[in-house]
Amino acid sequence: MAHGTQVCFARTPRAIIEPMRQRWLAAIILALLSACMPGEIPKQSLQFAEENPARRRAESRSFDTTDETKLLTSSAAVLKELGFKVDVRSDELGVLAASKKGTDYNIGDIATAAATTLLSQVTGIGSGTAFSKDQSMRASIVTHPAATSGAVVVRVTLQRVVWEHDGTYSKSELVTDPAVYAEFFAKLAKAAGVEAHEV
Amino acid sequence: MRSRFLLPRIARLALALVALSGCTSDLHDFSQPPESAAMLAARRSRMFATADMRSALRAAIAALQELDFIVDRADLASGAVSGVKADQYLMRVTVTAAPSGADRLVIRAVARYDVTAVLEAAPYEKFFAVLARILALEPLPPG
Repeated sequence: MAHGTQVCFARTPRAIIEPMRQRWLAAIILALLSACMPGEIPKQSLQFAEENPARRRAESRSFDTTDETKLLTSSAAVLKELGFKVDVRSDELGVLAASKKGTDYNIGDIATAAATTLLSQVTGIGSGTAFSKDQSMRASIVTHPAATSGAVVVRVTLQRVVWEHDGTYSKSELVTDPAVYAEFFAKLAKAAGVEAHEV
Repeated sequence: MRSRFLLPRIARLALALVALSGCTSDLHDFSQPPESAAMLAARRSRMFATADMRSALRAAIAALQELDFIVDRADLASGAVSGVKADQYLMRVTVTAAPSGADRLVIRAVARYDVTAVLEAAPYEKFFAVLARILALEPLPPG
């Protein structure tokens, strides 16, 4: 009887724990697989909310000229001086787009990538994680005649976009510091030789 | 006894890793798709009583800016302008203008989130409402 009790005591926890382990393993695998399911377009991305007036003010200036081409040429010169390359220019539509490439390294990403690469080499599965990131600063300039005659409004927007080394998008952020825009407009006013006013 | 449990466990782990390594995470627009290609085209386009392509495209640029897009492509010859959402680089709207008869323009807008086409009607309705206000023209009925 004592022997029987001992056997029963030894087997019962295993009989309970083993199915539990299997259920946990199945739950973890299902959770991981559900993370791989196709994602939905974020709802907030489909809501085209209107712009922030404060941001518009910081990014815009009115110049005492009707010559949009001169302002676009001077803007291109200022951007080149800041290391940008002009990608698109349309004088007829008052648009100029420029970009500046760079790299964005993060020590945490590098450590994670090193650990993942080592693990993938040991297991022979996957090819590791890339840590090298490319970033670009993108500048967009749009000109249009001001509501009051004899002036042109220039709006510049700066955006930072980061990509993984394999070309997949990582993140983007808008440059919102008004001082950055104020500095750009001061240089543009000097280059174009016309006075700039807040709008 | 131990190896009897160990082997299936390794096999299960290997199976899970193989399954995970093969999975992808593409985006999909799960909104209600239009019933036909013609309905989708109607959702994405409006006709305006103007033949001034330059003014129409400038109005499209202004509309994109008003909806918080950064305009980064513009070409009058091809009648197209395009912009990305200021804080979400993956959302892009491309607007094209094409003559329809002597005194009308068809303006088309196509929104994409990364490589996934946006099918939902609301973003297009919002864009065309802002565009109509800037152009000071009501869209004409199709056809």
